[in-house]
Amino acid sequence: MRVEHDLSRFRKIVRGKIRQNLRKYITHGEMIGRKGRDLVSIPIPQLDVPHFRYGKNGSGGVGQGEGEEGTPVASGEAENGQGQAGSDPGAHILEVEVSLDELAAILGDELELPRIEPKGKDRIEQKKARYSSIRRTGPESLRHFKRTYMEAMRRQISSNTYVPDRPRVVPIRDDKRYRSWTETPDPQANAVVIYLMDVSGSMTDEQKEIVRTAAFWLDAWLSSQYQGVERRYIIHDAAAKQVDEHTFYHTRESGGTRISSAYKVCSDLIASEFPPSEWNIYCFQFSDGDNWGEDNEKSLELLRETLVPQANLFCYGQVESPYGSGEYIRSLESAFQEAHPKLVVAEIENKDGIYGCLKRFLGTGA
Amino acid sequence: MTLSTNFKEALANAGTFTSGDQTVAAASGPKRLECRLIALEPLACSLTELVLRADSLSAMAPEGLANVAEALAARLTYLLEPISPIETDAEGCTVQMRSNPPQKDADRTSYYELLVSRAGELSLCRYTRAAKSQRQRVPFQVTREVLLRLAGDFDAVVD
Repeated sequence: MRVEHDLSRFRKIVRGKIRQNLRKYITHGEMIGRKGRDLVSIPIPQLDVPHFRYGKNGSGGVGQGEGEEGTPVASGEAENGQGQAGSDPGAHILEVEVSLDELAAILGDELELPRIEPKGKDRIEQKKARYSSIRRTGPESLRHFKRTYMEAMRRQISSNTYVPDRPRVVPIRDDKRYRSWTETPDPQANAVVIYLMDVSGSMTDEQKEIVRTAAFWLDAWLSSQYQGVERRYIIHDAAAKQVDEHTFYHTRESGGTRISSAYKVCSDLIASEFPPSEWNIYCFQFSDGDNWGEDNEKSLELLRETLVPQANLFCYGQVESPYGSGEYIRSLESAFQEAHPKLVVAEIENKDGIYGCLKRFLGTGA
Repeated sequence: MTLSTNFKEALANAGTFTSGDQTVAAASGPKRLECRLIALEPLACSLTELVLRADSLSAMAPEGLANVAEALAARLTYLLEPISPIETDAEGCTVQMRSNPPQKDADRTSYYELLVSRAGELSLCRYTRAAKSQRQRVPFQVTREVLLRLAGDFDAVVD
C-alpha cells in the first residue's frame, strides 16, 4: 500500500509538472499520429524533490569567528578563470510516459473545458461508473459495513465462536468487504466532427504544422471524452475533397484559396451522411484567410444558409500567414455581426496561439 | 515604336509633380501600359499600381500564365524583395505572385503583389499590414530607371 501511495504521489507530481509546461507539449508536432492509449514520452527537466545538500568537509561549522549573526556560512566566492569541459556524463533528463488520453485529460483540466452537451441519441458512448460489485480489497472509504459484518458473523458461526446469547461480532481483516464499480458504456448521442483545412499555396509548412497540431489536439480531446464519434476530413485549395486522416495530416497542395469549395463538400457530406436532425455536427475550419476576393461572398452565403444552421458548432481558426493578409476572419465577423452562438472564430498568430485557440473552440461546450 | 519606348516618352512628357494622382499611359498595338503615380520627380517616382493589359494574356491557358509568372519571377530581381508565384487559381485563371519573403519590420509587414490574370492583365502593387489591422495598398517608390525597366520586363514576358 505504501508503494501505491508513493506511486500515486509521484504521478501527481508528474501531472503537475506536465500541466506547468502544457503549452510546450501542445505545440510538439511529433505527437501527431498517436492515438488514445499510445504512450507519449514527456521529458521533464527536473522534479524538485527536496533533499539535503552537504557542504565541504572542514569548511566551517558551529564555532566562533568573524561575522555577525545572520551572515551566511558559505564556501566563498567562485574564482575567476576558464575551466575545461568535463568528461563525465551529464545529468539525464527524466522522461515519463503518459498516455495520450491522460495528456488530453490534463489539457481538459487545465483549459477548464466543459463537456459537450449532445443533442442526439445512442451513438456516442460515454463510460459510466456504477457501484455494483463487492471486492475483498479497496479503500476504507468504500468499505461495505453490512457485508463486512455478515462475513464476520458467517466466519464466527462456522468456527463456533459466535455466541447467540452474547452476540458480539468483531470483523477481522479477511472479513472486510468493499464496494467496487464497473464501467458500463452509456450511449449518449450521434456526433460527427468535420475538419476543414486550407492547403493552398499560401499556406506555408509552418502554418500547416500549426493547423495539424491544433486539429490533432482537438481530436485527441474529443476522442478522450467520447467513444464512437465520427470524424471526417476535408482539404481544399481552389478545389476541395474529402480525404482520410493520414492524407489530411500529410498533404501538400499549391493551388489558390477558395473556401467555398470546402463548404460545398462539407455541405454535401452532411446532406448525404449526417442528417442534422439525427446528428450533432461540429466543424473545425482552419485557413490563412487569404481567400480569393470574389469567393468571400459565396463562402459566407454557404456558411450562413447551410453550415451554421446545421452544425452545433462551427469553429474557424485563422492562422497568420507570413503576409498577414488573411481577411476572411474580418468578413466573417462583419457578416455575423452579433456574436453568433454557433460560430466561434480564433486567430492563431503562431504555435503559441494553439493553446488559446483550443480554449476558445472547446470552451463553449456547445 | 515599342511599348517601352512609348512609355518612356509618356513619362518624359508627364513633367514633375509631388502631389496628386496621375495616370501615365502608353500603348503599342494590343498592349497598353498604365502607371498610376502620386509623385513624379526628376530622379524617382511614387506609384500605386503598374498595369499591363494585353490581349495575348486572354488567350493563354493556365499553364501559359504560369510560364509568364515564372518568367517575371526570373526577371524582377531588382525590387526591394524577390517576387515568386504563391498561388495559382485554376478556376479564376490567375497566378498570384508576391514578395518571397515579405519585408518584416517591427510593427508591419510589406510585400509586392503581382497578379497575372487571363482577364488580360499584369498588375503590380504593394501592400502593407500593421499588426491587428487589415492590409492596405500603399505607394512604392522606384527610380525612373527602374520604372522603365519594369515596363520593359512586363512588355517582354507577354510577347
